[in-house]
Amino acid sequence: MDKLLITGGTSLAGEVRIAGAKNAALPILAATLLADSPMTISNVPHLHDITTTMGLLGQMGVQLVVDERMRIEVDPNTITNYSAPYELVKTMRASILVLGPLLSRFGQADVSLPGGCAIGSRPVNLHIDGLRAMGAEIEVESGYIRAKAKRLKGARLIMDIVTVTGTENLMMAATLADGETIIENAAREPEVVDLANCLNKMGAKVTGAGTASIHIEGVERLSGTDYSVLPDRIETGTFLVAAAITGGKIKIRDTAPNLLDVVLQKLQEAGATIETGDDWITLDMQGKRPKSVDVHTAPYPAFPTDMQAQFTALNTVAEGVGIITENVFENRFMHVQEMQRMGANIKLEGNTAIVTGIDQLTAAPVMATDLRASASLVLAGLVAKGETVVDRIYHIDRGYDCIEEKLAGLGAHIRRLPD
Amino acid sequence: MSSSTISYSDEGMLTINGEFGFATASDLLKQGLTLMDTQKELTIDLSGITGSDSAGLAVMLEWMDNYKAAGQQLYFRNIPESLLEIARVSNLIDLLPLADT
Repeated sequence: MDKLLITGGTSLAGEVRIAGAKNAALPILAATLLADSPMTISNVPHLHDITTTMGLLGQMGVQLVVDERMRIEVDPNTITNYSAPYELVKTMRASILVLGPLLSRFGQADVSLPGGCAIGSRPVNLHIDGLRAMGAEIEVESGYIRAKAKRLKGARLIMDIVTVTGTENLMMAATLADGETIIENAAREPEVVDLANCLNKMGAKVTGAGTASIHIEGVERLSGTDYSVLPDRIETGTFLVAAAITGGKIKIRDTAPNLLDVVLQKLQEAGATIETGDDWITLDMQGKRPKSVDVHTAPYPAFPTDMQAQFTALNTVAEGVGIITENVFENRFMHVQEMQRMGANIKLEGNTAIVTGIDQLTAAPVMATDLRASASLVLAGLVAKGETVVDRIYHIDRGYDCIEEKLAGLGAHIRRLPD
Repeated sequence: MSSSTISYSDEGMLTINGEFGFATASDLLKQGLTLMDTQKELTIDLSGITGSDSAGLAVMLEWMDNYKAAGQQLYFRNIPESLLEIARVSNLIDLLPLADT
């Protein structure tokens, strides 16, 4: 397994371009199954999960072509089977996103139960219950969700808990259903809105995305279209924290500042000077040590759980005491133990981490346990004294497009050690 | 109709000229296989291609498979950066036998 070797101590400076959001690109790739003609998706990030999704669609017989500008043209009309096998699904929980589109467009789907990040329970029963409420016959057997339906019927779906992939799956399924579907307690994340925008461009009638109540008026057919995926707000936030933790000054390009209000506010609390434009953000720490900030994660538009680990890293070297409260996922403080090995002063109490900033972390071999934990360990390595080796970085490769190249472009001393 | 061609530019060296993508992939695949069958070692030069996509990459892999099955050695040279990027994203970059240029 590849590792990252980071020599800490350099303030980041320069410009970095942000990729498209994986969490928007994955459902949009799944949504192409709903179209009755080819469609083209651009601003797709270069990530393993995207490759896995392309493999998933490809093994169904869907024709995919990647052009020189990394746009993906998808022709779903060549589909020959409606199955998502365990071998592919086990590596990526988002594979379940093909369930709704397959069932709605083709009347059948066999989808293996997903694997993916081991960060708390992410139940798929909400997807299944919602589709059953729309008239689908679903059995779970031998590790597979086996679903059938003639044509789904609109229904009022009340989500017990807020789930992004559940909302997306049911929203996609409802686009071709007979009648109106209302999803109550829907996820409000920008990636859900981006999917709704894409579906509407394909001819769907989705309103209310971005609120807790999404209305979908089913249509007879959806057409292929050209769609550009929205920028990755978590990648944006991660680079901003990288600059803040190192006392640096950077400009982020091709991003969407309006998706990061709370994160930008927290960075200003930490002492950063921030300016924004339509698609750019600048952050300047003027060489100062950051101040500790308190963070409480919650579904969008509150502080994102996917930025929690990075702010934990920021607090480890900040002035003062910062309290991090994780309200979204269980078991999401796996990075804390590794940071403690780098000298961080962190006390865990249930879902709360109390971080007392120290002057400097000390480099150590550390091991990544999930995607955002990996990113936070890289950030810690950027300010640690000595050479930090981050092991098991396949996690980070799942969510960050060329992270070491981009950080190196900002002056960081970082390189990949191949297995 | 494809206007792209693959032909011998030197001994042991095939050169592709024109588009190397979805529209031309099928023709170039067949042409290439026909031309390759007598060579024990062969290099394919991609400096003359005017555009490409993942279908072009798929043809390269198909040629490699055929050549390998016949116990012969195939190399590629002057692969455009854009095509290398598609290979990287597809996790196929390490499979491509690159010739020294």
